[in-house]
Amino acid sequence: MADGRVVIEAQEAEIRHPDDAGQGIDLAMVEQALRGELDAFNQLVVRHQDHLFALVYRLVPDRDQAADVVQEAFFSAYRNLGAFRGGSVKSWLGRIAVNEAMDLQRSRRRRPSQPYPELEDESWQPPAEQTVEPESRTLAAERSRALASALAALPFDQRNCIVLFDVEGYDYGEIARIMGVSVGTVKSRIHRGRVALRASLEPVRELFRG
Amino acid sequence: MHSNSTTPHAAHDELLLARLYGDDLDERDRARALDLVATCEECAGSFADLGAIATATAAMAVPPRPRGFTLSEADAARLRRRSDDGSLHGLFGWTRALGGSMAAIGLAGVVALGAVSALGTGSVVGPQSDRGALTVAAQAAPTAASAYLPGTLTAAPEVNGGGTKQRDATAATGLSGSPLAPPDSTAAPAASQAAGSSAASSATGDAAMDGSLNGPTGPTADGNDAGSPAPASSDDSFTSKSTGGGSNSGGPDAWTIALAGSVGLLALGLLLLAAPRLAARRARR
Repeated sequence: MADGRVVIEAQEAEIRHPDDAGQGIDLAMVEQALRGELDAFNQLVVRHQDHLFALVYRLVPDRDQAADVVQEAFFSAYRNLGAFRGGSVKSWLGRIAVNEAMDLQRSRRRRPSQPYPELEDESWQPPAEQTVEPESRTLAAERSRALASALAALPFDQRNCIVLFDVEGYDYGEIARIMGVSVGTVKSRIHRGRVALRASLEPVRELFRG
Repeated sequence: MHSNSTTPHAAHDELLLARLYGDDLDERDRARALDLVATCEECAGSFADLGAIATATAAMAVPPRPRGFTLSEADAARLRRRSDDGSLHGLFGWTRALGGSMAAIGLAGVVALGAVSALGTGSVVGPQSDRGALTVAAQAAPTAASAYLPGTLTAAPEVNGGGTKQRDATAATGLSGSPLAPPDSTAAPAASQAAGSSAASSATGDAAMDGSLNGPTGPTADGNDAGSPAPASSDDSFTSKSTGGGSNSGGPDAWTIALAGSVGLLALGLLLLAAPRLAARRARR
């Protein structure tokens, strides 16, 4: 009962200070999940599944495989809940998901498959805000397709570093820790990846210019 | 000032621009990169593209997730079981390492002893021949001892107790490898010769010689008890305790003990290796 009150208080706080209170809710849920409450863990899943899927989808260029990676990441998080040492639950889950994605990428390197199969499907349109002009939406969709394709063509080490830096906002040191390489290697991968991306998108550069 | 306007864009370092965008340049390179951006139109365009692509990557649309990822009760139960297994594996991790090491040492011991035994039967210089030499020496020793003992008895009163002990012990030279040399007898040389005649000079012969010259007091030969009614002074206790019988089988016994030890180590190691798996299976039930 007390635990429920903690969550309610944290939810109220989240409305006032979204970031801090969100972290408070996460920690309260982790505590409850550690006591064996599956519902508490599933609330964590619901809170973070969209973010994790968006992250993993950029790393693993296949929607179904990305979904499998996210599912495995939540399984792994549940199994290793006792190993959580505090801090940001969102970052912890992100690190687990990135590691799962890297495992998949290593196995895919041995068994290559078609990247981004949904890019071949012309009917697929990325979601967009309803208020945006149809013309802008079309442009955004085209840009996303081109970018997704160019990202998929990058070596996965470079792709991972770029996504973690540009999308997740990790700094060089954090990425180095996650990927288990030196900061210099991370920097090199990001710079080379940017150059390769730009070269790959050269034919459609107008999509990215204003 | 605008030095880059004279060189073609193809000769410009685009990686330098990427490093400028990533704020990963020292002062000199930074100045060079800024100069490129300021003086080369294509470089300026590339630099702008790098920024635009990074922004687009962050805003890149992703398809909706195809399903929810909440855990069912069955998932949770399965994962808890696997988690328990994982803890068990961690708990027994050291056991596996220890078991592996013990099994490896035991196996190496068994193989080495087997090889030694096999080589010994075919080689004159091998350990088997050492054992043979020991046996020959052991067989020769009682004779030597009995030949020597009367002299000992006569000589005993002439020396102190410790010296007598030592002289009594010399009959065993070549058996245990640690008896002392008689001051005036041929017993030890006889035993040493017996050992030496088996061409085991490096092991047995040397040991015998060392023993005869410097070694500590060792066991005496059987003949001491049988042949001498009562050694002078307090030698009884010494001679009766140290009989040649034990020395005769010293070589083979050591080999057998080593083999048994190796086999035991191997068995214990295998048991330790299997223990985590057995424990995990039991826990699963």
